[in-house]
Formats: sequence, C-alpha cells, structure tokens
Amino acid sequence: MSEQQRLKRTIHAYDFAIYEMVLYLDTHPNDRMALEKFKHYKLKRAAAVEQYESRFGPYTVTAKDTKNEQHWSWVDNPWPWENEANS
Amino acid sequence: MWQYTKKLQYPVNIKNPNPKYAQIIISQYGGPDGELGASMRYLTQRYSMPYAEVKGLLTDIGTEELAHLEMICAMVYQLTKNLTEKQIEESGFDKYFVDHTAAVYPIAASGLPWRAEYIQAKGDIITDLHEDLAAEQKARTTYDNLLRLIDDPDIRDPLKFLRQREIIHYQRFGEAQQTRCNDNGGAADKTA
Repeated sequence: MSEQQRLKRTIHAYDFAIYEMVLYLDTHPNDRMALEKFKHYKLKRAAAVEQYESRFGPYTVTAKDTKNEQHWSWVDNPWPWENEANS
Repeated sequence: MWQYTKKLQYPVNIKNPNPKYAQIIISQYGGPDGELGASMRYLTQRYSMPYAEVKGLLTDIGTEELAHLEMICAMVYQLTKNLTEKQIEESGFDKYFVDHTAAVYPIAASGLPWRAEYIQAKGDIITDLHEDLAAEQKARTTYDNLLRLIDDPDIRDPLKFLRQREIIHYQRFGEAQQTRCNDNGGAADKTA
C-alpha cells in the first residue's frame, strides 16, 4: 500500500484503540491506568494525524489548515462502503 | 447527537461479487439479531437507565453498532455489484432484486423486513442488561453461522472482526451488570 494509505491505517488503528478504551472506561470510570492508556493513545493518534496532514493535507473535514483547499473535498468519492476506500 | 467519520471501522474490500452470500450476510443488517436491532436496542434503552456510566456504555456501544451496520451494508453492496441477469436468477437473488434492485434494504435472510419487535426496552436495568447480554451472544452465534457458510477470505476477515466485537461488548455489559445489579462484592468498578 502507498505511504498515504499506510499512515491512514496507522491512524485508524489508534482510532480503534481509543474507542476500545472508551468502552472499558465506561465500566471502569475510576481506573487510573486505563485513563493513562487512553491519554497515551490520543497523543499517539494526534502525532500520526499531524504526520499525515503535513504530507497529504487535511485528514478530517474540520482539520485546522483547509485554506489551501479550493474545493469542498468532504463529498468526494470514494465513500466508505466502496472498494476504493478500503484498498 | 452524532458525528460521522468518513471511514469504516474495519476495512471491507471484497473482490468477488456473490449474491448468494449477500442474501445471508444481510441478516446482520435487518435480521432478528443483526446490527440494526443492536444499535436501536442500546440507543433506546439508555434513556431510562439510572446510572451515568450505564447511559454512557449504552450510548457508546449503540454508536459502535451503527458503525457495524455500515460494514454489513458495505459487504452487501460490494457482493451485489455488476451482477449479470444469469447470476441474479441462479443465486435466488431475483426475489430481492425485483423489489430493491441493488439497494441495501434492512431484511433478514428469510426476506422478513426488520421490525421493532426484535428489540425490547423494558425500563428496568436488570431486565435490559440481561437482554443485552443475550443479544450479544445471539449476534456472535449468527457470525459463527456465517463463518461456517462462507470461505472467501475477503469476507471472513471483517466477519471475524465483527464477531470479536460482540464478545467484547458482552464483557462490558457483564461488568455493568456486576457493578449495578448485584451486591457490590463482585463489582467491576469497586468505587461505584
């Protein structure tokens, strides 16, 4: 896969780890180690997003630097259920 | 309210369309133990829950089930692309095709449309959490059955992910039940 896809996959992996921690913290809201892990994953994810954006432009529709965008890319194909979005 | 992130929770990239598989996988969309039922059940039950962390858990798992519903629909969409008339007839997909063409519609493998009777919100934390534990096992069994019938690795991969998530959800509901429905000795959260 391309460097762009690889970086995206890395961010998705952190997304998932963060969401797992969200569910665990819902049933263990005072677990300090879990809270630390959650913060750790969020930091790692932010770093990965920063890396992605410095090279490939905005990762999310509300990414901080969209001033170079001449076109509303949110609606662009592919959408997530299409093969091209998952290759 | 909800935000939408423009991605699947886990990738689905199926190279070979197969309307026979689509007809059984669709049960995890609109069937009795599918992801539409799961998301509606948890997002509905949360309103009458008495404890903050249980409201949180039902909201967050219910939201994740919407993401799973999306993955199932992606699978059905990819499995029914570019079909020939011959494929449609021979697979028995013609019965669905005549009413929905290649749209993805919430029905069970039997052809029964999704119904609200598949879920319950009894307004009692003990009852509702018991239903949720059962629901996760029913979903897991459904994934087991799909994995028995499907050998395409492109399809098996996301199905195994979804099956694993049901097991994790079961764990979380069990912890909520331990903390809030039994005496505190067995609580998952000792500070509750």
